[in-house]
Amino acid sequence: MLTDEQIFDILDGNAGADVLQQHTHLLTSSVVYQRYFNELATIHFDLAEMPLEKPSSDFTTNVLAALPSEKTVLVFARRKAWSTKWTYGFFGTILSVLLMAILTALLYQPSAQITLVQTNQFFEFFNGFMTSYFTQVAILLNLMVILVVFDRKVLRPYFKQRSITLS
Amino acid sequence: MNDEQKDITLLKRIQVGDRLAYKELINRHKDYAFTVAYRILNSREDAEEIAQDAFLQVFKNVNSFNFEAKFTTWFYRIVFNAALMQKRKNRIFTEDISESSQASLVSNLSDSSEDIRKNERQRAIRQAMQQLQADDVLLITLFYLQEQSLEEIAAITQISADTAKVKIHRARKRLAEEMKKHWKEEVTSLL
Repeated sequence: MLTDEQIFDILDGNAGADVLQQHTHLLTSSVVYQRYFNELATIHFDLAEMPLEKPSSDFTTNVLAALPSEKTVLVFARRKAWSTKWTYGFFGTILSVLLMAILTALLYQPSAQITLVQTNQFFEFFNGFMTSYFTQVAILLNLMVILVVFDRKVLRPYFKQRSITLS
Repeated sequence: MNDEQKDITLLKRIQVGDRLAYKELINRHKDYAFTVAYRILNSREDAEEIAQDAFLQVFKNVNSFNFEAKFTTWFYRIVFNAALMQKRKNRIFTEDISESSQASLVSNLSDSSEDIRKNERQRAIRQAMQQLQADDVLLITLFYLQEQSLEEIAAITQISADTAKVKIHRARKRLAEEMKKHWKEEVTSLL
């Protein structure tokens, strides 16, 4: 009697010549072997002929629908582009105003001297306000704006990148 | 261009964001993925969900695929792992009686007596497969469906080719035993 492994080798077409010879002999001489071989052969051929199962007709559509949408990525990219434009616009405006002021101060020469007659008290108050409070508040505000911009544009991306690299 | 090269071309296109290539890849492999999952789970709903998840995993991890192995080796491993996890979750086996009886009824109406016997045997095989271990089902399914080489099956199941050969023999032997049990039960129920 042949082993199961040898019988499966015959069915798979991998058996050697001596096994095949034994098999042919057993088929004619042993009814028990013949019945057993037929059982395994039937299963083997049924398995080989079993059809592929078909998923539902909207299988592909469902998979594609479950993907993250491309739209979201585009919206995100647009936002990023706009925020960059606004930053450049802001700094550009400040620079151009500053340049204009410097150029005006250097090139402009008044043709006539204007003397303003004002009360001494008002002039002193206004002058004092402009030099002390207003200038201090303006400098403070400018510093705050610069710090916020520096934090958003330099510090946050740096530490975010650093945390990704470390993790 | 053979199947393997076609898969590689599609994967490279998917890596640069080509969704049409992804659609084509799904259409090429969905039947096999679904069949593997269905043979292990014996539930169309679960099998469909598992096969869909497997394709989504492919999309998610496509950039980590290194092209050293065949796509199918990687993909069937994903399908098998997902199906195995689902089977463990399900635990309680429920047979889809209505579906199988409906299928046999349809076949009885339209087929010849030899076809009817063959369909009955194939139905019995599907039922017997449910009594086997998931990796036995996978081995048998891959061996017969895709006509894959022992080396490829070994790569999917992460065992050696020799072990795969022995395991396929044993799985078929166990299937034959389950089939015998099934026919005995059928005869007993008729008597």
